[in-house]
Amino acid sequence: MRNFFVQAYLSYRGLFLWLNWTAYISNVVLRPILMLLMFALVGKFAADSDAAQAYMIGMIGYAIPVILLGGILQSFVYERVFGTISFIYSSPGSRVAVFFSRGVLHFPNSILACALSFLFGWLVLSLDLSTLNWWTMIVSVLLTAAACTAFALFLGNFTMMLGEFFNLYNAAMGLFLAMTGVIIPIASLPWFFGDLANGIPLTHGLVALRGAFAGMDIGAVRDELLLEALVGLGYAIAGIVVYMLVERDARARSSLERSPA
Amino acid sequence: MTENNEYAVECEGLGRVYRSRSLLGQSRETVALQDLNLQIPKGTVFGVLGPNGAGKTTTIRILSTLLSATTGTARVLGYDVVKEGREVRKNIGIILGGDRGFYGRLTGKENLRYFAALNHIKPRDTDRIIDDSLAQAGLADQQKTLVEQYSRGMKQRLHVARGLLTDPGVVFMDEPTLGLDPLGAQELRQRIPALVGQGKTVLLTTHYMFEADSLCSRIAIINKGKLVALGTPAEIKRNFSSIGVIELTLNQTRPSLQEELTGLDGVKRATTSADGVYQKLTVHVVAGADLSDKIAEVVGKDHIENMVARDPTLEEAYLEIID
Repeated sequence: MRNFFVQAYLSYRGLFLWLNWTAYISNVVLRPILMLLMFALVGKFAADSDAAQAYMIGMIGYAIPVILLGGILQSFVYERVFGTISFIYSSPGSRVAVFFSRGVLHFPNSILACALSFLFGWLVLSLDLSTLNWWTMIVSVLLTAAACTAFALFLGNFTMMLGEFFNLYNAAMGLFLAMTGVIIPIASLPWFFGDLANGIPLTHGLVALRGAFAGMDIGAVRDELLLEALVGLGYAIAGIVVYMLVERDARARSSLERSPA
Repeated sequence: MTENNEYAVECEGLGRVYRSRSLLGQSRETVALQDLNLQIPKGTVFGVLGPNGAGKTTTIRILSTLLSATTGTARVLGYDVVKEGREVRKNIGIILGGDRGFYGRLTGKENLRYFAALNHIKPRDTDRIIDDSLAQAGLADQQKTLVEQYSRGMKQRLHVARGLLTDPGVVFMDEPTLGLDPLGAQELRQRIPALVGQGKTVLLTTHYMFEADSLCSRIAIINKGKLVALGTPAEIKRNFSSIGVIELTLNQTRPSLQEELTGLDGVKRATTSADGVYQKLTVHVVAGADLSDKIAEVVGKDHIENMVARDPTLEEAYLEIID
């Protein structure tokens, strides 16, 4: 277990290139707050205070994948860029441990970004906490962060294969913004997008989070929390399976040995 | 293939073909390794030589489980590299060399700590093992420096430290002295016999022939994916190259001399180089041919200070074999 946390800590420091003051503050602190500010103001000017409250809750939830995906996807791609992947593949180390260790320390980052958005909304934008059920909010945020971590780990496999992370990161963030109920209610999504949203993390966690702000206790949002957990579990299992398949493919085709262009 | 405890590495019919597609969808195949048969006894240094692209690194990658062979089988310490890959990985160390392979934002010591954790080194032993490895690699003073600030030579030393971190039974070294300064290269060469003394087996690829000649008990020369020579350095020089060497020290030479000599029947190559105030003339002749008198005649006996016939060096034999 200690070796797992050593791997988690050192790979986080070695592979997370936002881990310097300017990049960290701009990505983990300022970016979620500015997104929150923008959508809160859009809500106030374009609609009413209820819309602004709904947008702010959405953006508090959205802060979670923004940080998680940014951090975890680059961890995977830089493993290939730095050429350390060969030494992982030639080690007897547990692939499950390597895979999940890449997400451990990004998890608290996402909680921090979410908490800062919450604080900013409350202190600056008059986020209404009058009916907030704190426990439901805490559990919703933790579960959503866990599910988004699993999703980011799953996607990390593909960034490693592609050799870059920005394109996939931008596409994924667009997906979260448009299809998980952050701004647009799931019921309003066209075609089958509403059904598709059920398979994306954050969707159910956000419903639970909105329930928390409406004063619901954990029991009242239990089904949504359970669904969020199941979605996360699904991506965690799919992620480790794909990770092992990528390794097998790399041995067969020597596909990850070269530094991406 | 027999499972023999005497051998650290055994390959039979090992081959690797790389397949790719062009932009127009045409399938291309590159044969990197073809029907390689090797048996490397335990506790020896085995050299694999060959020009760039010959298949040396492919061989090491297959044996270290990083790459699948398309044909044949290989065993390392009795374990099949495909079916028992995890057992193989527990028992090998790899020194691939080059600038990549580390986390630049971590220090040298932190990098080793990471790979120690990855390789299941017990936490209570980790510090001692890392400190010993860094000291032996000559990096004790730079252990807290970020790897991104390391020179190429320091990274190479760190590669060596990592490769030996787990006390492996078989060490694969792919051009380990490339990029090292002369002192660092000499220190590494001096460590290799000590590793063999500890019972380890070393498989070494190098472009430095003197390195292979002085370190390896047996050598394989691979060219275009095929094994073209196998034996001790002395056997390679004697049996696989078809040349003898006549070396002359001249007090005077002329521009047309090389051309004149290569025009002689039985002379394969002639090269000159400065040797202080003298010129050194090296003539490769067909093995067994006695051309000393003819060469002396062409050169001019008055210009010859010294003349000896000798066996080819490993480098001369190598050039002849892959020519």
